[in-house]
Amino acid sequence: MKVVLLVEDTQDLLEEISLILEMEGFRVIVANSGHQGLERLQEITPNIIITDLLMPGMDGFDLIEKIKKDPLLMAVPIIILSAKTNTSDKKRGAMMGVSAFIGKPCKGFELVAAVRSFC
Amino acid sequence: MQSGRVTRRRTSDSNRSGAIDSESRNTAAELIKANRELALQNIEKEKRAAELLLANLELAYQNEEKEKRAAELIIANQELLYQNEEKEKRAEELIVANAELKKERRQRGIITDRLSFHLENTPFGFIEYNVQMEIKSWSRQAELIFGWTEKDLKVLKKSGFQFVHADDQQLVAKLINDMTSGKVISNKGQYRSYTKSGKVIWCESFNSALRDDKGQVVTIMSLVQDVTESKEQEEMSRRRLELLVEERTCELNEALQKEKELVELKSRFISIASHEFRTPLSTISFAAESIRTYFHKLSATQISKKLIKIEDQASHMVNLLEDVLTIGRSEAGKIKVKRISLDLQEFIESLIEETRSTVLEKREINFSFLCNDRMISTDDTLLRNILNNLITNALKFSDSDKPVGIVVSNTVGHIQIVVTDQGIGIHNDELTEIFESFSRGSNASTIPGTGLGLSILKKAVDLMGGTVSVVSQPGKGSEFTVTMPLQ
Repeated sequence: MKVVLLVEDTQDLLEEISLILEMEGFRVIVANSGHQGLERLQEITPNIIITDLLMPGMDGFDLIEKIKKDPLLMAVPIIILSAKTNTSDKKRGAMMGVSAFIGKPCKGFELVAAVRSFC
Repeated sequence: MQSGRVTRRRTSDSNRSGAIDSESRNTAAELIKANRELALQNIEKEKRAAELLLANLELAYQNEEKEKRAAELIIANQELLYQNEEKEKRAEELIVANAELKKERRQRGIITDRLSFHLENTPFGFIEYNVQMEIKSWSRQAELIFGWTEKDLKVLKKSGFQFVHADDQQLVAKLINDMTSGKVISNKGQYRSYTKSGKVIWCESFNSALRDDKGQVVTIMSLVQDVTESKEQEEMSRRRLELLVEERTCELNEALQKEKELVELKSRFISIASHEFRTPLSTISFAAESIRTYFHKLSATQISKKLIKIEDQASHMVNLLEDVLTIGRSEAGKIKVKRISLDLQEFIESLIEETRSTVLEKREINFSFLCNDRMISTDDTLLRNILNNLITNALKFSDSDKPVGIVVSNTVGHIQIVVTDQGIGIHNDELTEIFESFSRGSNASTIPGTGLGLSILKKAVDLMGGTVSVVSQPGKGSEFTVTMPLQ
């Protein structure tokens, strides 16, 4: 079973996305912030990471930067799922080696298709 | 000829009679002699007649000549008469012209006198130069302006003194050169000059160059006026204008800066608002899709929870929309203060009851009304916004077992509302940002909210001419104080 790390600070959304991914056969590990996401990554190396950008404390970009610097994690594909949909953020994500940038709101099947295509 | 034949006949008659008579011969001789004499006389007469004829002819010719001469003399006489007439006419014309000339000279004299009078009595100093720019005339006004007399000028000339201020000498040289070179016949200029007292004055001169028939400059005339006063006024006006321009530029820059800030704020607001709408929309979209896609796999409770979530997120979006519109209206200056007279104690009590009814748990709200007068003049909509946000926040950010306090008191001309809670509090470094739109405390991320409540509260207090302040300690609670003028 493929493991997905889902980093999202909005609890309701976290629950909804988790449910869809689980229904589609993924094991979902959740984190409410960038810090929590890093903590989870100390315990497990997921097949893919889905992260929000605007989060209190450590934001999505800080988290991605840290992941990309970690030799054990740098190859893990990352999908940004954010309500920030401006071009500069998309460019920044692409420059950091992010696999996909999906803007909120999106359809569950779109997210699932993206996750499947990268792991 | 006739007389000749008569003579010959008489001779033959005498010869025939001589034979007969000697007396007759003598007589005949005498007759012959007389005949000869007669003949000679006739010849002489003939000669004389011829001479007379010639003389007559000569006389006739001379008469003709005389007549011609007389005719010529008549013509010449007529010519002379004509010439005399012309001369007389010319003489008359000369007399008239002379009279005109005299009149003109008299007129010129009058004009010169008048001009001289005017020149001496205008504020202009009249200065006349020759082509070498040596002063030829220096009017009384010129003396008054510069302080120097014509005598002084001669002394000054020898000493090589320059009237014109060093900084303006180039300008004056150009003015002169333009006229002497024939580039212009007149010009004007402003420059600084020294006076006898050593003072520097501003002069305005109107110059003209007079030329002869060959185009050579004869004299240059300058009419000089002391314009120091107007120049100083002009300078003061210019400085005032510069200051004004500087002030206006500052104001414009400030306005521009404010406009930029406003544009940035609006852009940030739109970006944040968009983000704030996208998040609940995502939850609604994912929840609805889950119900539709996994309907048969989900339990009734799960579906119910999702539907409640959809409902909550939809109402959250409605609240968000309301708040965004309120802020938009207040920023556009569309919210006007409409004061009415109301019973403040009753107003707050009813608001507390209203709030209590929306909260699931029973909450302790301690309300103290310490004002002397219950009736105040205020805008009920704005006051509701202020109190609603204060009370809702106090309840929302504190545990359900912690009480919330509301104390309303009045000072001179002001009303003070203090709302306290024992909730999560606000970090010190976030205290200044919490009144900005979409700003939320870092410890409040798990508590639902739009981040617009305190921004709306601040705008309402501002509109009422009041102030809002906060004292807070993370983990211990917050105290918000709103002070508003009664009128």
